[in-house]
Amino acid sequence: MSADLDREIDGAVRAMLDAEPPAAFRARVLSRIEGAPVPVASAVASAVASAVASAFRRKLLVLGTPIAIAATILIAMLLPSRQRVAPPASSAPPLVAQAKPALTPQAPVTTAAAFGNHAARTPPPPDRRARREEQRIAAAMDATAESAEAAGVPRPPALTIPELSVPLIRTVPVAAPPAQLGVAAIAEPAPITFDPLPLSPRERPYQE
Amino acid sequence: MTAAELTVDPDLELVRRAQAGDTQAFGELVERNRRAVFRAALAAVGSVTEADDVAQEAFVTAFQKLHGFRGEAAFRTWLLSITWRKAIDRRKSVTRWLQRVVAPAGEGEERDPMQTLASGARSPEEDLLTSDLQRQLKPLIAALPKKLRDALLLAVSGDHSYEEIGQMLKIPVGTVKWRVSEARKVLRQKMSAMGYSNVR
Repeated sequence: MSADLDREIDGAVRAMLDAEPPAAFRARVLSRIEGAPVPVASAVASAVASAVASAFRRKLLVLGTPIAIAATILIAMLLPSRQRVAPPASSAPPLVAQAKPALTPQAPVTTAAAFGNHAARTPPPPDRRARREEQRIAAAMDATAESAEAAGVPRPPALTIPELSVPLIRTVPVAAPPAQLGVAAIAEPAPITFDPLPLSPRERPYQE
Repeated sequence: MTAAELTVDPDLELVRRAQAGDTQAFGELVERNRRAVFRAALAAVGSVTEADDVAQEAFVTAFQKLHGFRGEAAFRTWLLSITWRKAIDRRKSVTRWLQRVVAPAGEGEERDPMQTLASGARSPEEDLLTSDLQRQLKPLIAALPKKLRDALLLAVSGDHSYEEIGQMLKIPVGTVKWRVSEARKVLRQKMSAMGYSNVR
């Protein structure tokens, strides 16, 4: 009965795979290889395939459009809240301006100056420089005052860094020099003497 | 080296001509192997339309890679390996999965193409020739685990030797035989559970 069932299984499998490649298979393969115009039968088949594909695309569009719209709305809702969370632009000038109010600007060394252009090396007129420096100092002082008012807390004491004290390394002389190493002479070994072994019974007959 | 490899490859002469640029020779190779290639693709994807597409792709790829073919294996085995790789890619493709998921039920198209292949005969004459037991077996074959089903379909189709199947599935011949035997065993058990008590 097992053999019968195996036959039935074979028959079922063959029935499932009992299909031949569609017509003009060779021509279609060769046309794809050579890039030649597709035969009429193949054109019909590809038209059917594209129709199926377009139906599939339509389905995707129907499903995908609401999702895309929902995603756009969600992003539009989230975006302003994120902008609100972002910190506002600070009115106080940067710390650099507070820390270094008295820095004098350096005249930039341009490439032209490096080539000996005297006009480029000329510093700005003294009245302009002085005015600019005054403006910078005033801005720094205003900023310091504003920040102190805004914080309402006393300024922290200036940090002091104590100097590092490194103990001096002293060299201590060695109290006693190391004892000198000596190699004692080895006594001569005693001469080795060998006693002849007694002859074995087999060797005895050959003894002269 | 197997006995199949020791024999002279009947396609070799055509392969050499095709390598030299003779497309008609390649056309002859297509004609000789189209059935085996198509059946292998059908066993993997379960749809005649997709199998046709996969078979065409396999031949086109084979032609493009023909210069890399050194004749270490038979041309047919090499071609079937390409076909199987293409078919498995198609079986796993996201597009195919989407098509199955998006396609609404009741349009005359079943979800699994292999179930479509298993459902019914193609003509009334064929229906008369198909026994009741075979009609019961087809959906069970389609529902087998893929590893067992692939081996069974390829082995029983009669178009491929065990050596070729081993090369296609990248498994030893012994494993192919074991899978075929295991598939038969599973089918016997299922038939027995369905009430066919004397099938063991």
